[in-house]
Amino acid sequence: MQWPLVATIALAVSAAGRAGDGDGHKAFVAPFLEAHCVRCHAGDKAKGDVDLAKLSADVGAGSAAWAEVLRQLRNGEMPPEKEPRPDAEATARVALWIEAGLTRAGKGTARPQPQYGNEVPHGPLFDPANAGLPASTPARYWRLSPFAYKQFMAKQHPAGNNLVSPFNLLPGNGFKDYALPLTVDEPVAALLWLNAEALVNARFKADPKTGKPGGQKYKEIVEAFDETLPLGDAKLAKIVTEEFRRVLGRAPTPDELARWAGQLTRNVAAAGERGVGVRMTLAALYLHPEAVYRKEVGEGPADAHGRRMLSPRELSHALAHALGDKGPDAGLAAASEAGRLSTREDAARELTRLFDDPKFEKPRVMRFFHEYFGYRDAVNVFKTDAPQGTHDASWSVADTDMLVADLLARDKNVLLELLTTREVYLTTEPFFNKNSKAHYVYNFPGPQPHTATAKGERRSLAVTPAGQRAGVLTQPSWLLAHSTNFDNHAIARGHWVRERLLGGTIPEIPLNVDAKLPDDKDKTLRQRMHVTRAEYCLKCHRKMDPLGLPFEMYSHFGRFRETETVLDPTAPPPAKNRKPATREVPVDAGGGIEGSGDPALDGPVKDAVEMMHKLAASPRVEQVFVRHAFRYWMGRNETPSDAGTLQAAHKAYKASGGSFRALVVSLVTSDSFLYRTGDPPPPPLPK
Amino acid sequence: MPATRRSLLKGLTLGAGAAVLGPLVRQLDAQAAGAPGRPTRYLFVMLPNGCPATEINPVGFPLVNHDRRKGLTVEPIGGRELHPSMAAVEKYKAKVTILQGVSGTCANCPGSDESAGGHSKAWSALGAFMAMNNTVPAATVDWALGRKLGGLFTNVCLGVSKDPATSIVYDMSAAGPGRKNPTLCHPAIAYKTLFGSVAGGQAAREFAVKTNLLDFMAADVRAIRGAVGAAEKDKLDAHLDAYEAMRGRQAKFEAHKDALRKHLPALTDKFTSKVETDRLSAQFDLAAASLAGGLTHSAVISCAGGRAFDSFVFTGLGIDRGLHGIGHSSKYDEYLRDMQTIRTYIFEQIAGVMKKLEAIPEGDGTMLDNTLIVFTSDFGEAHHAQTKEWPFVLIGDLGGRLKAGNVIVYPPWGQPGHKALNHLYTTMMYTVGEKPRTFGTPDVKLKDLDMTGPLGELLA
Repeated sequence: MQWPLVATIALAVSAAGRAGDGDGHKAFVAPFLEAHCVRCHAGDKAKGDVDLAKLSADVGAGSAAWAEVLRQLRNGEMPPEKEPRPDAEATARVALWIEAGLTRAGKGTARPQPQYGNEVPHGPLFDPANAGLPASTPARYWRLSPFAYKQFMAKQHPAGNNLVSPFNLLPGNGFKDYALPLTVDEPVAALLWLNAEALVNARFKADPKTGKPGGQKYKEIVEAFDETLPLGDAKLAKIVTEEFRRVLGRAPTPDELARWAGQLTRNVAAAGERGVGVRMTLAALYLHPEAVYRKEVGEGPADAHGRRMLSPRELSHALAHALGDKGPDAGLAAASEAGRLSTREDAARELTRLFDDPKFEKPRVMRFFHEYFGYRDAVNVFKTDAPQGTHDASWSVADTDMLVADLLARDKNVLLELLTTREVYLTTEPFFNKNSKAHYVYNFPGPQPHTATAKGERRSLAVTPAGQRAGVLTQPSWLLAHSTNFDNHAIARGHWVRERLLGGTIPEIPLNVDAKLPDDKDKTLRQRMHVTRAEYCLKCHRKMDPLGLPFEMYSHFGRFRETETVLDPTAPPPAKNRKPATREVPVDAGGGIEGSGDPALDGPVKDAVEMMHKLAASPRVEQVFVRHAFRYWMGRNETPSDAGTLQAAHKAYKASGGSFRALVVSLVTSDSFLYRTGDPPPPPLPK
Repeated sequence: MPATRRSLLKGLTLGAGAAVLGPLVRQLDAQAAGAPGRPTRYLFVMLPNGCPATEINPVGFPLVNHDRRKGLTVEPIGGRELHPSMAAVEKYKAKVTILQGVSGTCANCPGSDESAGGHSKAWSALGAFMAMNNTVPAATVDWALGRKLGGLFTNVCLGVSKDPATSIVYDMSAAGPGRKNPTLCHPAIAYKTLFGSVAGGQAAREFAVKTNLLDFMAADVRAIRGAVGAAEKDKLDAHLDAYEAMRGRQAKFEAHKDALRKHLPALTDKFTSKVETDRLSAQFDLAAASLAGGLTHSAVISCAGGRAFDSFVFTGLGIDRGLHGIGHSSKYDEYLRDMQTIRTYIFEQIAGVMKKLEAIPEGDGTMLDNTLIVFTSDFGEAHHAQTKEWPFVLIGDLGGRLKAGNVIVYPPWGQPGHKALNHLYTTMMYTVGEKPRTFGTPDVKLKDLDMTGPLGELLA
């Protein structure tokens, strides 16, 4: 089915479009409710006191009820299991209609945090009919990340290296640096101020020999401290201009110049002392919005759709922060000054240059994979008894880091390799048996060939035995990160696959659910997870458990296994101080994919390796990966209008033979990245 | 979304800093006016790694394992000595309450403690709720009390971290749904934050300039609001709120200057020491000064608790392994021994705070008379706690509002008459004149019991 949003967009933003509410209701919403809902939810005996017959066709008027309908549809909670399933596309279309109505009424439910990104239905985003929608990002101020803040302060003065960033990141697993949800609250502002004061004090610290503040570098300012010298307009202008350049990287406008010079004068008077007044005023510049946020309002001229392109200066920062934490390099600054940063081609040229320049550090690329896969959380899961050969999660993390970096360097079929490769890096000495050189984690019987490294550390790229490993999700780091203290965490793993590879949504755990598995040590995890088969639980757990159980082929330390150990219930109770008897049972790693949105994917799998190969071959999985890359680089969730950006990025990735760099370049030179709008127009209503 | 539209700004002329800040100051006054008739102070001391019931049991008191207890018992501590690790507060015995058998299963959060190793209950410890997936659903009790009691800061939450460079964490206190409060982990930064405006020779001059600058910086943020849409405006409004709160505080500082200066703690080497216990001791000094100076009426000290407790080492006490290692001692005795050493130190610090408050006259007595010190572990009763019991030591009777001097032992978990954190925190709210039905969210598994109302054995 096609999603002709383009055709309706003109209608939607016009007054006539508002009548579309009723039209859409009559055309497909009412029939949908009639077919699937009103038999139970209408009249005096309406189930759960939900009477859909009374629901107004005007979404704004009945917004609370409509929002609940939307939630139920999105989560697949209604209609109940035993009723015929509504067509997925029809459901998505009704959901989109409700969402649009709610947004128009100022009661939108679209949530800005990354974990809700999948709530935008997948179908319309990759429908070619929607590729022409004008994409843009809301004009915004994106707060610096803690990493960028540290770099910014360190660049100002070496003392900045010792300051603590007051900025938090988004909690939970997933993307951590989004533009909208991160703000400056009071404790953050208080710490920003303390840091700014500390930095300024360090800059103008008294020379121990002369007792005079500062060095030659800040001569103008230091002279201003001297009460015996006049502090005239010319001097004030020079100080403000120099400091603007130094802190914000630009000259002040005439208004700004007057304002800051005036403030400086007032503060000197209020302090009754030059030093205090000047220092504190200069400290305030470190709290200027352009020092705390990256300005992305779009200062270019408006186009036919009311979108404004980022100005050269804005773009120079946006490009630099797409890949790194340090802000624009000399090349970007020069391009911005010279007016060579005002087109898509300019952006592509500079981005390519940054990618090619080994001196330009690009930590944000690896950070994407850290946040997407979440394998670095391995170090946060505490384990009691180390298995054979010892255990330290940070070593496993280092191995995966190296593998990801290597696949990125090759830049061929990156996602496919990330999800299926049998290659592993063996970097950690304690994982090897001293005598036999066997590797405990990957079951290699003997030594593996080394590849030399600059540091001289052990570094072997080895190929694991067939059928045992397939990509990052089968690496110990990812498995550890998605495990509990004592066991595998099939639910968390399934949750990850459902969200990050299939683009599905899973409702939050209801508050009245006692989400704990029984602790019968004579049963396998799969057996203990039978509690999730209860009807109430299964609604959500069917989306997770079958995707997580295939990883039962690994122990909770991430080691391949064919049997697992459980307590033997038939054995007599152990003698004092003896461990209870155990027995080995064969591992059952069976699972399955269902409701993926790609019929070719659905079906049972025998284990994680088979499942990963199936998933990696699916175009849908590729698209979901593209959606995640979009979120990371735009710092926001996608909307239906971003369809063209997503499709182009997917195309660029495929056309380049699976180059991740091509994917990033496509995203970072897209309309979604380059253009800004003020208050977004009301969303189009699907017909 | 954390950015909330600020109601305070509505209808006010933008740009008039002082006028904008008026309502906040008035609101603070109103809060203070609504406070109960007599002064009230709370100090929560949270020690990680669990506190077993036996470890606060007075010498010779017949305490049995919680699952073998029968019914409710309330018995005076009487002539028994307090547990040896509590020797420092022995002289205050008549005001001590040992609370046993209160459960904290309402604070066990699936999805949260799994990744933290089932250790700290974090916000849930003071919230008596489940912070599912690390999302706080409501305010914690320290904040709820502070909000009622007024003060320049609703609460002051102080902590200590292994790395002195970690100045702030967010894992113990919350102001409401999704609003985690900072724990200030660096004593020197906490000192500047709390007392900066009255400390040091340049204080008065810097204070005047800072007041100017807060209006000036707020104007910068206000100026960029015009360039963005509604959602972004909300975000920038949250930033403006921050300046507004700082500005309102400046005004309050001005009014409280004398009281603050009187209780200004001495800024010693402790504040920047490399030794963890020194820094912790500095935080106790700051808590005492904050309470004495009226900076806040509700303080929390997280003694390396919360989610990053793992590798914290109490080197100053001759202990050479991290808290996590202690929790996993191969012998239970070793765990008890090291934790007793640490607990002894903590009670010495508590006694230090008490001594300071006792020296300050208030009404017919001293500040200490109107202070309740609450000692517990943010883990519950063990390193890997079941939380079917959650031992507490309370010191103080809030001027007769609480009955003190008893060992109170509640019936086991799930038995008739069993009580939980919800009841205890409800009791605390009663002491400040609020009477909620319950506090937090009771454990659904205890649905057959009455989880509402205060602890009758505690409330006078």
